[in-house]
Amino acid sequence: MLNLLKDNIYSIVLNLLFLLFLFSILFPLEKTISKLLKIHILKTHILSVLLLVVLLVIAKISALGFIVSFVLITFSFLVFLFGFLSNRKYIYMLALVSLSLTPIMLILKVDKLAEFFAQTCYLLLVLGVLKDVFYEKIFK
Amino acid sequence: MFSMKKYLNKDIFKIQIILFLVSFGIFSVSLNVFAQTKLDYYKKLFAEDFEFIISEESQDTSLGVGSTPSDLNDGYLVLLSSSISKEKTLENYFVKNKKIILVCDKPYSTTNPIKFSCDKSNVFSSELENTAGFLRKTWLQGTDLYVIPENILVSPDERSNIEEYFNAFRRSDAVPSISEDKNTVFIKVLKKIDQVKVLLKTSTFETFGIAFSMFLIVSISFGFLKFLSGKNKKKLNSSVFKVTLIKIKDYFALHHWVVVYGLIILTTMYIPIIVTLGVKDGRGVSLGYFITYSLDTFKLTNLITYIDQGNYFRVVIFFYNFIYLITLITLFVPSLITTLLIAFPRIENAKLKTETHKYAVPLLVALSLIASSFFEISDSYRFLIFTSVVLAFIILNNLKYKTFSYKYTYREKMFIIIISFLIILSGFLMKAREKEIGLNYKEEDLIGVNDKVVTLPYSKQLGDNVIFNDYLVSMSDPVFADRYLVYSPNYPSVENKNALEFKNLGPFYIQNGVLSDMVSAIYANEELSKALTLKTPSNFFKVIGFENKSGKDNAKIQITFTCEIADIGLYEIVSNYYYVNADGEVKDSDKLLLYFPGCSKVGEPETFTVEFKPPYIESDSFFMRLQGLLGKDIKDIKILALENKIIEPIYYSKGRGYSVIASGGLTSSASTKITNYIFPNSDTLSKDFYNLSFDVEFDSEGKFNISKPINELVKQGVLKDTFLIWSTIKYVPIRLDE
Repeated sequence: MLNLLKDNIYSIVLNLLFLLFLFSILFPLEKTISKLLKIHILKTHILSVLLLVVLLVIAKISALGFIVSFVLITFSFLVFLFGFLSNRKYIYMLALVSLSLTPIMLILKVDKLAEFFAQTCYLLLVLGVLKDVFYEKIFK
Repeated sequence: MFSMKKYLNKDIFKIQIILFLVSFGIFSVSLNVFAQTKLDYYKKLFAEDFEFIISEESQDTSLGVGSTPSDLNDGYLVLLSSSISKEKTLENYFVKNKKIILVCDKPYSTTNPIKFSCDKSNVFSSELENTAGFLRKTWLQGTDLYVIPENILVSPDERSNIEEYFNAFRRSDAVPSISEDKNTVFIKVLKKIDQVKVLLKTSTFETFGIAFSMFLIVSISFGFLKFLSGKNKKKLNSSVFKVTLIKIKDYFALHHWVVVYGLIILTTMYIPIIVTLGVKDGRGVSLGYFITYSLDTFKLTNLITYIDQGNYFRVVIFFYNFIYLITLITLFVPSLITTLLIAFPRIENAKLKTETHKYAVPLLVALSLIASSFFEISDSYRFLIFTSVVLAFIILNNLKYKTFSYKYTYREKMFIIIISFLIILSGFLMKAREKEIGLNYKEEDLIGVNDKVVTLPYSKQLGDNVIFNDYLVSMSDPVFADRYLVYSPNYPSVENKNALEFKNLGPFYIQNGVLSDMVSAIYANEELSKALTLKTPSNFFKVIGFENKSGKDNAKIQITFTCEIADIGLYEIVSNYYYVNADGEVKDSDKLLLYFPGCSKVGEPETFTVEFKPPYIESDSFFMRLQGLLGKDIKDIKILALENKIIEPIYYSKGRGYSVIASGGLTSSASTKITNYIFPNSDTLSKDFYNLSFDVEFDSEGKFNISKPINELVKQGVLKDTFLIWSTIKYVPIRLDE
C-alpha cells in the first residue's frame, strides 16, 4: 500500500491540486484565504496560482518534455482558436485549396506533401464544421 | 512619365529573364537523358526499380589511389562481365565501403580477389555464398560483391525474387550504426537527440506542425483568399494579373528586394544541383528524387551520420536547404507579423458565454483527473498541459468580461464532487490492481514488415509496454538482440554473463564493447586478455615497456600497410591512447599519428616511419587504437624506442558496432551451454546489465520461439527504444517465404 502511494506520488499531488481547483470554483475559498492573509484575494487569483502549481509539478516530472510541449500546445491552441474565430469562408476556401493541391502533389510524386495537404484539408473541414455547430453555443 | 516608362521596361526585362530561367529549369527537370546501352539499362534498372544509388566508375585506369572516387562511398557500382578487361581487372573496381554488382552477360572467371566463375545462366564458387541463384560476398576487401547471371534479371519471376532479396539487404544495411568508440559525452548527446526524436514523433508535435503550417499558409495566402472569397471580384483577365504582378514587384522592391533576389538566385542554383545529383546517383534528372533526397537529408540526426561517413554532398545539400528555408522564412516575416496583429485582438476580444464557463471548467477538471488517475503522468502530461492551457484561457476570459460569477446550485456541486471522487477512487483501484497482476503488455509482431524476405541485421522499434508475439525460427546461425545472445542452434542452453567473469571453459562468445570498458576488463582479467589476443595485426594493440619520459623525443613508430586495395579511405591516421592511471581509472586521449598519402602500387606493402610521442602515460603499458584502419590494412607495426630497442605490440581483437570479437570451444553438437560475455558499460549499462540465461527448447517441428528471450529482455528493461536483432553473418534470413 505504502509502495503504491510512493509510486504514484505525483498523481496524488496533481489530483489534490485539481480537487482544490474544483473546490475553489464551487465554494468561496477566496474569502477564507482573504481573511487569513488579511489581503483582498479574488477567485481568479487562487485559480491562476493553482494552475501555475499544476504546471510546475508537470514540469518537475517531464522536464525537457514540458518545456517543448508547453510552447507547442499553447501555440497550437491559439492557432486553432484563431481559426475558430475567423470567417468560415476563409476556412472552407483554404480547405478547397488544400484539396486541389493534394492530387497535384500526387501527380508530381511528392507523396509527403500530398499527405500534408490531405491532412490540412481534413482538419480545415473539421474546423469549419465545428465552427458551424458550436461557435454560437460557446461564444457570444 | 518617360522615366516611369523606362523604369517599367527595365522591370519587364528582369521579369522576362526570371521567366526564362524558370522555363529552363522546368525543361531541364523534365529531361530524362538515358542512352540505352546494356550497361545503362542495368544501371537504370538498379537505380529506379531497385532504388539503389548507382556510382559512376572512374575513367582513370591507373592503379594508384584515386582510380575510383572514394567520396561515393554509399553507392553501388554496376559492371558487366563483358566490360572487364585484362587492363582493368575486377580488383581495380574495389573501393572500401562500396558495393559491386557484376552482371554476367558473357562467361567470366577469376581467382583474384576471390575465386568464382559465371556465365549468362549460372554462377559457380566455393568461396562465395549462393543465394537464389546469385553469388554474394560481404566485406571482401572492404567491399560487398554480388555476381548475378544475366538470365535472372531478364526473367520476370526471378527478377521479382532477386528484388525481394535486395530489398531485405537494403533494409539490413539501413539499420542504425552503433558506435561504442565515441566518448560518453557523444553518447549522451546522441541520447538527448533520441529524446528529442521521440518528442518530434508525438501527436503533440505533429499537431503543432500542422498548426504552424496552417498559420504559415494563412499568413502567406491571406490576400489570395480574400481575393477568392471577395464578393465584388474583378474579372480574371490579363490586366488583373499584370496589376497583381506589379503590386507584387512593388511590394518586393519596397520591402524585401534583397531577400527576393537572393531567393531567385538560390532557386536557380537548384537546377545544377538537381542535375548533378541525378547524374551522380544514376537517376536521370528527376525532381521527385531530389525532393525525396532533400527530405532524407534535411534531418538533423542524419547530419551526424553524413559527417561521420564523409558524405559531404549530403552535408552541402543540408546546409543549402537550410539557408534556403531561412531566406524563405525571412521573406514571410512581415506577413507573419501582420497575421499575429490580426489574430491576437481577435482571440483577446472573444467573449465566452456564461454556460461555457459554467460547464467547461468542471468538465476540463474531470478530464484532468481521469488523465492523472488512470494513466502514468509521464504518458499523460501533454494532455494535462493542454487542459491547463484551456482552463487558463477560460479563467482569463472571465477575468476580463466577468460573464460568470462561479455560482452553482447545491445539486450541481454535489454531482461534480461525487463524480470527481469516483474518478480518483477508480483510478487508484485500477493502479492497485495493475500492480498486483503486473503490467498489461500489448503484443505486436517481432518482424513488423510484410516482405517475403527479411534478413538480419533487423532494427526493431520498441513501443511502450510492448512485447512480441511468438516468432518461430529454425536458423543455423546464432541470433543476438543488441549485445545479448538469444538463440544458438547447437546448444541446449544459453547464458549471458559479465565479461569480467570470463573463464575459458566451454563454448563462448565475447561481444564487442566500448574501448575504455574493454581496456578496463583486459587489465582486470588475464584469461580474458589471452582470449582477445590476436596473432595477426589489428588496429587495437597494447604497447608494453615503452619508457615515456626518457624515450619520447627520439622514439619512432613504423607502420607497414598491406596496400591490398587502392583506396583505404583515410588520409590521416589518428591514434587513441588508453591507459590506467594511479587511481585505477581508464583514461584516454587521441593524437594525429601520421598523414597517409596512399600506396604507390596495389598489392605492394608500403612502410611509413614517423616520430612517436604518446601523451604522458602513468602506467608501464598502454593501449592504442588506430581510428578507421582495418586489421587487413596493417601488415606490421613496430615501435623503435631508445638504444635500438624494438617494441612489438600485442594485437587485440576489436569490432565495430554490435559484433562478436572472439569465440572459442564452438562445436556443432554440444551438450553444454554456451556463454556470451558482455563488457559492462561503466557509464550507462551497468544498471541495465541483466544476466539472461535460458534453455533453447525446440518445438515438434524443430523451431524455436525467439520472441521468448527477447520479451524477457524487454520486461527487464534491457532493450529500449530501438534495438538490433543480428547474427554473426550478414544477411541471414529470419523470414523466407518462398
